[in-house]
Amino acid sequence: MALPLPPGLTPSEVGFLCEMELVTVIPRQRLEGLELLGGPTQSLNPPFPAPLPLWLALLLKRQKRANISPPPWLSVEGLSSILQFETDNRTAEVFSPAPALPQPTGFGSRHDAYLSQDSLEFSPPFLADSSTTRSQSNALPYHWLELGHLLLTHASDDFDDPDTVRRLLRDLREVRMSKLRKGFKVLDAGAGVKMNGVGGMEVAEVRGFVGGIVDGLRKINRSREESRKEREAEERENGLGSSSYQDDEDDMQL
Amino acid sequence: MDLDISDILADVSRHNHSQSSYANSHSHSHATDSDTDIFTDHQLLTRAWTSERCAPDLLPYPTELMDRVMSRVQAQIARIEDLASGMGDGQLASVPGGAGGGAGTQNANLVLSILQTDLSRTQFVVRSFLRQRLAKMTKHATFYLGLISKVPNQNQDHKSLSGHLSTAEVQFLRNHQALLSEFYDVSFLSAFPAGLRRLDDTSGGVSMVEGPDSGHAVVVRCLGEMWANAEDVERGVEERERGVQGDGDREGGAGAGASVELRMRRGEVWVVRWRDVRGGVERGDLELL
Repeated sequence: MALPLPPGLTPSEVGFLCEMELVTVIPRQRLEGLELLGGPTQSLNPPFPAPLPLWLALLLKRQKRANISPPPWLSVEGLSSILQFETDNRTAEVFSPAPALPQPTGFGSRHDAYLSQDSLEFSPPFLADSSTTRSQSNALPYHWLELGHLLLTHASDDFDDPDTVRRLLRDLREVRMSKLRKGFKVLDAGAGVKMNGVGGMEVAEVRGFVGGIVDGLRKINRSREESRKEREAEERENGLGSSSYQDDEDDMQL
Repeated sequence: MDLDISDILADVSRHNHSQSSYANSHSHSHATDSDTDIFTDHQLLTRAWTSERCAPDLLPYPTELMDRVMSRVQAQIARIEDLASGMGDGQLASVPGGAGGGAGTQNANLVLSILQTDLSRTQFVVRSFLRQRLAKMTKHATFYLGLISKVPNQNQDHKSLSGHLSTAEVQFLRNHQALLSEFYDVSFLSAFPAGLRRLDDTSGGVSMVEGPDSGHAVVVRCLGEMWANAEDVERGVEERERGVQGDGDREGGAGAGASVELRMRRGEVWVVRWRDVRGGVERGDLELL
């Protein structure tokens, strides 16, 4: 098999995506700007902070050449306020909102080829400032769980209070997962279910289960759907009065 | 208000990055590639990989994007090799240099390891993308071969069908299917009755050709301002009717057109069936998560 995994990103791939997010780094050594395959990086001149991709920031941190400054939402105040929003009884159905997406570029036309350069709309992990020091402090970005976990594991000395932050992250995760599980009840074979504000790792955790439920419901409903489609096709061809004509014939044959 | 200012600042700082990096880079000029293009291509590659991993069906092959990315990867490999060999010579020369030479080679080591890490990350994405496409193709080989063979006949579908597979993939699929059918013939198909030996048989009760499952559940995020799939639903209905009346061998799949009407606003995340959002994903209004 070329790739034996089922459709959908695995949690490690979501973590890989998260490592492309930009974070603010405070360098301890000079480093010239590099030409990476993801674009050029800024040159590092201590003590000025600079944005770098997370994988590069973690590499430098491991070699003690830089410190990572945690984004505003990954702090005791930020997480406590988000947790308060989540646990409020009035918001039992929804997740805390994701940071506001920037204005759409709106360049794309309807006839652009798939993945043409002109019609790209930005999305995580490439939203500007979702995890640098300029990010919103009252909204959880898409990769909040992975980012928090990686920063706490590798850069815990850059936090003021890593234990409280860890505890708050765990609480947030439990609250949101319980909300997701409550949402399973409204899953339907056909229509969509809204999950605004959900995070990347949460989607990865839940995807297999939700997919299985929808497939199972589809199998159960298949016979019902087929008869409905046949009836619709008949009505479209013959007009609405046809089915009653057929019923009369059946009665006669009794 | 704040969001607008930060957007403007981000634009300005990106321009500053590009200017400062042009000033700092000592290597050959990048006159052909502006920095926003590299950035955009990186995002497009990531989006292509994510979509291909999450969709149950084969998406169109982004030929120009892959060409640009592969040429950049090869240029980067050449640059890394230059740096590595240049460092090897430089070390011999700087041994009498002492502490200054040590720090210089340390930094050069760091730069080399950073470039190599970045290269291997991009190679992972490209490899995973291609492997996912190969897995989907081999799983439904007869279905896709059937689609390809229809291309020269149907002019209006030329844009949509021929772009789905690259030429190398078409060749691979044909070879793969030829080898597999030969193997089946030798192992057990020759023992079957003559009328039941075809692997692409679509007559009879159950078809031998199995298309991908278009009713699979997927998670999408809406990126356009407002998106609705009313016209996809209409087109789906037309295709089903045409399939019933017209070409008997048109493989519409199990209800390949959209069937449920959906409406989404920017930023919403939905769990829907693949066939309902397929048109939106291919046009870039929706993003697979």
